[in-house]
Amino acid sequence: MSRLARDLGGVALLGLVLAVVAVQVPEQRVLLFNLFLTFGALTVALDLLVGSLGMLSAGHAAFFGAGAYLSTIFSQRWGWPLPLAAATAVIAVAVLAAAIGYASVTRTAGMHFAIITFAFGQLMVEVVNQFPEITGGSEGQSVSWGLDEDLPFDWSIYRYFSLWLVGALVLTAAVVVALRRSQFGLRMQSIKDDEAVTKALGFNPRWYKAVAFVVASGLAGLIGTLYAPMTGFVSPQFMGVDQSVFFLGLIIVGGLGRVSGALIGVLLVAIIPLYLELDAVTRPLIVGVTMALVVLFEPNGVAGIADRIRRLAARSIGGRRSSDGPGAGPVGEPDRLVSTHE
Amino acid sequence: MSEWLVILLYGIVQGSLYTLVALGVTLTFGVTHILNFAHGEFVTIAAFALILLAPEWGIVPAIGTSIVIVAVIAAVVYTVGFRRTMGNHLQGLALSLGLLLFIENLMVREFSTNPRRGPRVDGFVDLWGGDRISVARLIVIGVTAALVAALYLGLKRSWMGIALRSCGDDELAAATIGLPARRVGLYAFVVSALVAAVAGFSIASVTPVTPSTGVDYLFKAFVVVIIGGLGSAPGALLAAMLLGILEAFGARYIDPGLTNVYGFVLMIVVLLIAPQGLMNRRVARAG
Repeated sequence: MSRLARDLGGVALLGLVLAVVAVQVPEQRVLLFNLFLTFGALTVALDLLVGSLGMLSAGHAAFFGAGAYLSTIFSQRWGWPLPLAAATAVIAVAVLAAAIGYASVTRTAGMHFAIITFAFGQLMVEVVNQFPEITGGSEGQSVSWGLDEDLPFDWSIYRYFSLWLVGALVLTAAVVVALRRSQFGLRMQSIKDDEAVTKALGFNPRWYKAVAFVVASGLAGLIGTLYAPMTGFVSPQFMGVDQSVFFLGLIIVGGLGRVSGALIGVLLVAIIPLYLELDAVTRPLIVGVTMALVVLFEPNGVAGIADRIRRLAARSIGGRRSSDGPGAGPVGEPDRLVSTHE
Repeated sequence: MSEWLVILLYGIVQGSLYTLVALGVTLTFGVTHILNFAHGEFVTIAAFALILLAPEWGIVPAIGTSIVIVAVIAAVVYTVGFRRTMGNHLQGLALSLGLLLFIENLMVREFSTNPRRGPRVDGFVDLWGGDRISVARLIVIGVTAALVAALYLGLKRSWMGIALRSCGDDELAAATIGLPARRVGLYAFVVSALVAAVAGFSIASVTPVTPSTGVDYLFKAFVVVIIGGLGSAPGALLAAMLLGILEAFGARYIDPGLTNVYGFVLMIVVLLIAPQGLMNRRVARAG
């Protein structure tokens, strides 16, 4: 079985498990589960940039917010049907990402790239703030889904959104995994390892970086179009740089370059603290400590710790069984996935 | 004419505050290649230490103690944390981000988000045409000028300054002549923290301070540092003054609601024209 087929199978299995959870999760936890799916999909998409190319986008949340705002404006202000509004919003976000991404990757790399995407993201927040008559300004605005009648199975609207979001997460993970396991993915790996050599081979790194940026940001926009009607509210707080940087933190803690790492990071750093219902000050305090300690002791994140345990177990048992590894994500060669190059 | 002068002065005051925060960021990055998100917390800690200690101990002992507190915190944070993350910028990023979240929220918990006023010098100086500017603001300009001069001389002439610059220029060559990057990194963190402490005192002397003051200035400092050239101290000074003055004139003549936008626009324009920043010799272009 090819690695692509194996990884896609893993994604399908993940989708199945999540769909079952979506049906079974108790009513008071549905929103939290939806948040997990949203953050999960967003970080998996972002990991295409960070894990596969070493590009630190500090504007990821802005594209998420752009998707949310555009679909809301199209459907609520202009009265377009929802699927059309959402599709147009995603295309618009992708076009925006292409313009910003091309300008950014051709001119900057490394930390400069992080900061220019941060600036573009903050500019998008300012655009929202400057046009309160369309966007609701810094206060945000409510989003109505327009469906109030009784829904089948006595499910709440949130539970239906869970299924949509599971779909979005599966789509995101499938796209990311398929890209990584394709020729495109090999070239991304090559760019990450040595940009000059890749160039000498005749591949233009800018093109691959720009395409990855458009794909990741477009997916973020798509997730935004689903998240906004789910919470029934959009505000600039969704899209600020603190959100984007928080997403970066989630993947680094979870482990780069694999779907499972991103999901573990989201679960550990974003969802469990919410589940424990800590107050709004204690939560980020604990999140901060966790983040600092995890990366300090294991640069490869929680997934790196898992690898270490697995290797230990394999050595003590003496079998080679564990090299296949369980879990939904693509389990690559962990040492190659986090590069320490400048 | 006089109105322009007042706006210019206010711009320079703001630019001075940006300079003080940005110098620390650029110094840390230049030597250790760590973009320290927790740098803003050094500023906040210094400001709060001064505000809390000054009423009880008097200004001078409070300033001295605050400086020691911030320097010790920076040294501990570096020795326990950043020393291990050098060479892996993702790890450094996540660590500094975790520290930022931890310290900021610890301060919110202890001191609440209510703005606090620091000890300040009262009084105004008359300018031509009946305008006035507070003495505190003029002191900020003076302190910044003095600190920039001291830092310039220190980096140019002192043993430590030369060590810092050589490690920033070429870590391997510096190691060959007996300058271990990891120890010089400690000096960079402590010196940056001292500059951050001065920034904290200056900010507290002209505006109310909350636990998020440091982060707000930190993001401005990132903009400044990128415009000036990451790792370049003169660049940080130039860019900070440019930004401060641009914001002051923009707020008066264009739209005060857009103050945050000018910096981002200026930065994007600079990055598109000169990706390495205004005053950085090293090329930071993408492939």
